Amino acid sequence: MRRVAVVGAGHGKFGKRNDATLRELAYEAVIPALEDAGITQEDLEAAVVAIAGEEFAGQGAPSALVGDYTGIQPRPVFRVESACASGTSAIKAAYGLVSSGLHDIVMAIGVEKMNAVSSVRATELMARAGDTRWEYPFGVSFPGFYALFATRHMHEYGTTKEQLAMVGVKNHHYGAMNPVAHLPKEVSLEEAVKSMIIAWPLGLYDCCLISDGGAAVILMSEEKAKEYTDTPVWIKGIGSGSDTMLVAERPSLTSLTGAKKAGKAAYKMAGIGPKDVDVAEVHDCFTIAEIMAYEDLGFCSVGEGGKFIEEEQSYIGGQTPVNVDGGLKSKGHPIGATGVSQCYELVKQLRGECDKRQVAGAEIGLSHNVGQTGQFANVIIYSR
Amino acid sequence: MEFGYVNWSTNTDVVDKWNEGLVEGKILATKCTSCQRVFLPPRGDCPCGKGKVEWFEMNPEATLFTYTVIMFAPESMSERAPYVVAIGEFDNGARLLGHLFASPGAIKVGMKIKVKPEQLGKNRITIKYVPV
Repeated sequence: MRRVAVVGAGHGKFGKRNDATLRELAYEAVIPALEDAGITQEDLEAAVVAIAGEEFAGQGAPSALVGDYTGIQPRPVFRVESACASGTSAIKAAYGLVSSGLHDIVMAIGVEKMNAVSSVRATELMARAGDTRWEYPFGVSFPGFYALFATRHMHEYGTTKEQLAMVGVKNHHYGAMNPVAHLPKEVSLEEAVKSMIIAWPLGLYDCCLISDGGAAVILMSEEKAKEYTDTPVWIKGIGSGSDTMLVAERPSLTSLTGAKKAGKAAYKMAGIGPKDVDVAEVHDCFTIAEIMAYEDLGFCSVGEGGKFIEEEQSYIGGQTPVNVDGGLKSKGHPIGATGVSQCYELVKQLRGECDKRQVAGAEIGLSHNVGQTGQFANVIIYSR
Repeated sequence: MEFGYVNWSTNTDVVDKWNEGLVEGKILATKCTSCQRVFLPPRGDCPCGKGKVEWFEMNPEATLFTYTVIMFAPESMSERAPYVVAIGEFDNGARLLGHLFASPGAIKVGMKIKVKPEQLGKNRITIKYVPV
């Protein structure tokens, strides 16, 4: 396999974007990514597009629209889907196209327009990603599944509602400094703990946002990367895994089997261990998900995730800074865009371009992107 | 007969047989005749690909493995909210998701519960957990 680098990255504003549809959201990520890499659409050979659910935007074959509106057409585009992990699946597909030698320059685009429908409708569409025959008929919302994990984590390890809330407080702290964040504001621990319950024990500040937005990155072969940049960010490891469709039948509800498998494979390919990670982007769709990610990725021991945040080990200055862009919680979670947005943040961190949120001297970044309730998981390791 | 409060899935023979069991007051599961894997809810096919499945009746007693109280529900269930979603664990290790009818203050992980059918009108049936 050939070495592959990320050479350009672009990011639109995440939020409830009543001013933009799928096409504009993609455009505001793609054009800055091209400018960042110092290329034009002419130099691109292909694009892989991550859009999780066409029901949200109401557009069939949405990657064709993205390819057309961003000027990539007539170069080939295709879409990948793996729920909330679609973004990293697009990067993985692009990596395969470049490392295999089929192409030299490929773009991965992640975009989602979720607010064209009401929040109760969006909740419905996400709930239908659960098993529609056996679990959806009980009205288990997406927060509901993670609440089942949270209750069990609290029971097995004594994790507290306050510890869950601390994850949200941290992510809002950093999100408040991120110009592309959906909800860039600080939240107090008291406010977070007492927030309206969505699915017990998860309150409003334990849940990610329903966001619109896009992100794009450009992958190049080593030869091309050296031609276009002095600051390539290398893809050092990629691992993936999956999990059962029925959440009830999993042996453990305090860990994601697929995410653990993904992490292990990515560490092995990169030749590093958890303690070598300088900055991490993890899939905090809910605060409990970030706590489970600390454990699944080996940042702390099993059952110690609550303590890890309480000791501020995931803040800048702690053992492993996590989601210092605000995470899904504060930056927002336009489903298909999230994995690409994680890559954008890590590229900026590894280049030292994150200003107040910069993790000093960061050389290795990890992205952990989970789809659905663990049915999809990708971990990607990037390095300077 | 349709299964569940809401449904987007087509009935197959497996679903029909499960529903018939519920009408008779029974919780039915399947087991692979080759690898002995148990399926609750029932599957008609085992991933091992080597055996057939046979049906058997479950002991309805379980312990509460985990739960949540859904306050903000998906559109199709919003009129029912709030409701308690629970996962019960049975003595043969199988686990099943359903609603638990108990006051949230009285619910504790590890408590004894029992699963039973609940008819929801003439053509619709589901299961529910109640405390023992």
